[in-house]
Amino acid sequence: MISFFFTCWGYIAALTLILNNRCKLRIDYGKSLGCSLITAIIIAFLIYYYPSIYTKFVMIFLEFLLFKTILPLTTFHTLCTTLFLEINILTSECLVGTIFTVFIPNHEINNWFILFLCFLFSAFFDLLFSSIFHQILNKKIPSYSWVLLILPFITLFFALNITEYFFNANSPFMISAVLFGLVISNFVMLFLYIKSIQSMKLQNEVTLFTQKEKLFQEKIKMLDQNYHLNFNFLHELLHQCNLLNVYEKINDKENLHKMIQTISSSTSKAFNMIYTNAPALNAVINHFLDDIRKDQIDIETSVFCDLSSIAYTDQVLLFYSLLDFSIHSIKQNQKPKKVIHISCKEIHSKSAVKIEFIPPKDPIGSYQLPNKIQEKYDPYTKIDIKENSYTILTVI
Amino acid sequence: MLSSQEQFNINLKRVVHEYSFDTASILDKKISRKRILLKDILYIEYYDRHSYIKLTNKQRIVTPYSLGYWENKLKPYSFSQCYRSYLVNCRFVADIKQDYVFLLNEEHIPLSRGFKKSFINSWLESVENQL
Repeated sequence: MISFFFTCWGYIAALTLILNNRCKLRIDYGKSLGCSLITAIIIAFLIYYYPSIYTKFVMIFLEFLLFKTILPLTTFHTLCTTLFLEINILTSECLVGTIFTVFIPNHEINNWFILFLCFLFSAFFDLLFSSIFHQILNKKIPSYSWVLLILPFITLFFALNITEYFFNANSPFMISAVLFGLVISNFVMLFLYIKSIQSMKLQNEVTLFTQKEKLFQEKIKMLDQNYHLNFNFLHELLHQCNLLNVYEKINDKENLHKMIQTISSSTSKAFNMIYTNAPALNAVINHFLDDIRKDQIDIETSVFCDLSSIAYTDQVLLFYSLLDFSIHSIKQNQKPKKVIHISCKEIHSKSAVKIEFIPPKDPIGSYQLPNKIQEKYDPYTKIDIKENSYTILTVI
Repeated sequence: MLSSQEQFNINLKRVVHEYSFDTASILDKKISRKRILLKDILYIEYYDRHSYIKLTNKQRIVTPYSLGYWENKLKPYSFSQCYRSYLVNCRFVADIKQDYVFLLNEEHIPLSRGFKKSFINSWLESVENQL
């Protein structure tokens, strides 16, 4: 019974210590020592007095509970560790048995020497396991990772039916080799699994980087557009300032007054158009800038959110369709003051976009949201037509 | 930079609406001795010949009135019927998906076909008023 206790405690302690050092788990040594000693005593007692397959199940369950208590791991990782412990014991003892069969056929078994050899191999496998385990620890693993445990379970099921792991000391070499190969295949599978996960992650990262690059390109394009708009505005302003100086020199108060009015109006318009607080709306307004200037349309914006729930390209599409419809409609209006008011706000995680303008007297067609937006976001739209206002509200 | 009179009028209308919603309340001794602010009502449920006012603080107040009574009284304040026995405050609607109205307190209330169109319209109107 004492040898059972030492064997069991030795395997558990070795695995715990190596995992703690390699994976930096920061375990409580006092608690671990106490728990592992109690578990080892119970297991040794059960194995010695009630050696059966059911006792082995109880033993695995106790080991699982022990690891769950002393190691800060998830259930999946704890189950992996428990399965490994059992497979490790099987591998080490089978290996020692095979060595004795092949190299020292007529040996006299010294229990302590065998135990020493088993611990030596066990420590080697512990190191191998901890280096692989370290790679899957603290990483988000896919939900189907439980499939990974099938082969270890089969190996374990095979091991449970063997009463004595050293049995192959008297068995043919082929059986030992098959058994050893099965155990090694567990490690190989685990290694390949980790490599494939890493490869998938890399592939995802590449896709992400490509998309980010596209986004940056779009932003650069938008900044470039903004730069040109600002440059043109400042260039025009410079000309107007020069004219102001000329009028002031020749004392032409009438033209001076007109020019000041023009500058004030164009500055106000430009400010509203350039700084809408929504980059997508800026881009769309810049696109329609010629029409807006030609037809003397005022665009007033109140943007109180970043519309983050809608993809940038979809924002552009939405604003484009809204502005296209409203500019086209407002062009038919004979009134001197043509104003399009756009407001956006986030209301309880939904983005609300409203566009309002004075409709022409002649009837205009009904607004239709772009199909892509309809299919992707399933938005709610309300169109309110009154005598002096046409309102389109979209909640996405 | 909005300076036009129209914009000012729009903003003023919104502020007045917000103010009226924030201050409107019910004071009825048959229900409660305290004043109940409309902005604290999530929905009103009718069953077993009584209507129950569900408040945002999870409190339920029993009233002897019918749902029709409440609908007439609260319709101008963004309240709308989404089901035979439910009158919901549209201000607390987080989303509408298929046949359910999802509220901000993570409760969901059934949305019947008969009331779907009018309820969505009331909800959109309440959203518009908040813009």
